[in-house]
Amino acid sequence: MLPPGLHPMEVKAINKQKFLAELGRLLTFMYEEDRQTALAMYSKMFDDAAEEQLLLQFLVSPTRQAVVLARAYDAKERKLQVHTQSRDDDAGYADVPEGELPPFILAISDLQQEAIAQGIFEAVEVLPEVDENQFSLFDEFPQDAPVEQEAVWTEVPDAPDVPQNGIDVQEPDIADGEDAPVSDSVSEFADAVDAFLADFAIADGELVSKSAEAPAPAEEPVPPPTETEEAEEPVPAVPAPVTEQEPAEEQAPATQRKAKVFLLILYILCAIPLGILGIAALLVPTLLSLALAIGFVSAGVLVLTAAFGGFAIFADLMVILGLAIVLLALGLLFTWLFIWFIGGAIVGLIRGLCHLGGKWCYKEVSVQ
Amino acid sequence: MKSGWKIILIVVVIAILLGAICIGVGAMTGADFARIWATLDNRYHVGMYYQYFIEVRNTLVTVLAA
Repeated sequence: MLPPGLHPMEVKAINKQKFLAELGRLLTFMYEEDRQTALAMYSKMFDDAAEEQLLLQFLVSPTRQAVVLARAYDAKERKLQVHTQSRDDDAGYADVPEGELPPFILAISDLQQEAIAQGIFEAVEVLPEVDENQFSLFDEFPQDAPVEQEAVWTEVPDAPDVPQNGIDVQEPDIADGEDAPVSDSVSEFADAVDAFLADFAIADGELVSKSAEAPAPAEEPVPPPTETEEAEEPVPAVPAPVTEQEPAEEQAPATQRKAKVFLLILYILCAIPLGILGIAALLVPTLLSLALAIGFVSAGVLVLTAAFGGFAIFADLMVILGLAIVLLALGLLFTWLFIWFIGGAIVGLIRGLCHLGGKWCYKEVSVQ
Repeated sequence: MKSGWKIILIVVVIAILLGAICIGVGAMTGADFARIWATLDNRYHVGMYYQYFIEVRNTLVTVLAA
């Protein structure tokens, strides 16, 4: 029952407490109230599960669940909803109309239904224990579910409060492998989650975009699932993100830079004289800038000194002060130009030559 | 470097505008440029240095042309 793409090592050292703690840490993007609700629902799933390990395998990892919730969670919209529904109401989501349930709750209830479909919950024992609030979460499901599915749940005693349009939607179709609407929605949801997961990985327990990380390592090849397997396990067959049990460094493909010796020698022989020529060419405007900077600053200082020593007429003084300011401004400009030539252009030329040499004369070789 | 260029250019433009305003105000309030030049020449011998550079330049042009 191990979901495809999941390495057994990823689930061996995790239990309910650890799962919930990690999930709680990853759900900090949610409002506290919503986070507690989500954690309570996951905790309830663990309580209701026949076997904890089966549920853990089904849920794959806290990261995956965090991504599922992140995808379903719109903070702005949620804020509006919270304001609209008067936060004083302590009745939770029990009194919330079906169409106004937050998407993240619907996402969790989808998961619960998948888990039920896979037999992770003991239906006879579990269903009566689920509180009324949680059942109201399933009210969103389509009304047009096949009628024969109700047979599964009619076996359950003491569950008169279960709405007819609730949980009883998907079990037989998944088992039969037919294309029912619910099955389609589940697979679409799984595809969407997979597409989202493909852009993320976990590092130090945090969700990190893969674009900012090293390329993801190749996963173990997973044999294509048969039709029966697909029916049993609707969990997507995409590689799960790395959990805290496996550091990212272990999976990163080891590569080594290896020099192409002949090309490197040839490049050095060409690059050194070319670099010296380039530097010499850049030194001309650099030194010119320096000379002009010194000249303008000196002239500005001299004129400024003269303004306070040799002029008695206000109009002449204003002209001399204006001239001094202009000269000092030009001196500043040329000084900066000199610094830019030294620190930007010449250093950039040397760096560029080194970078080009590294690009042309070295190759990446994977270390086996 | 980019932010450096931005700051320097802003400072330089502001200083040049301020200097231009000062020169404009001085010129409008009766500044005499001949008098200013005479004062500066009297203080720093600007005319002498100018004359010296002109002579050096002429000498160089003659030598290079020959």
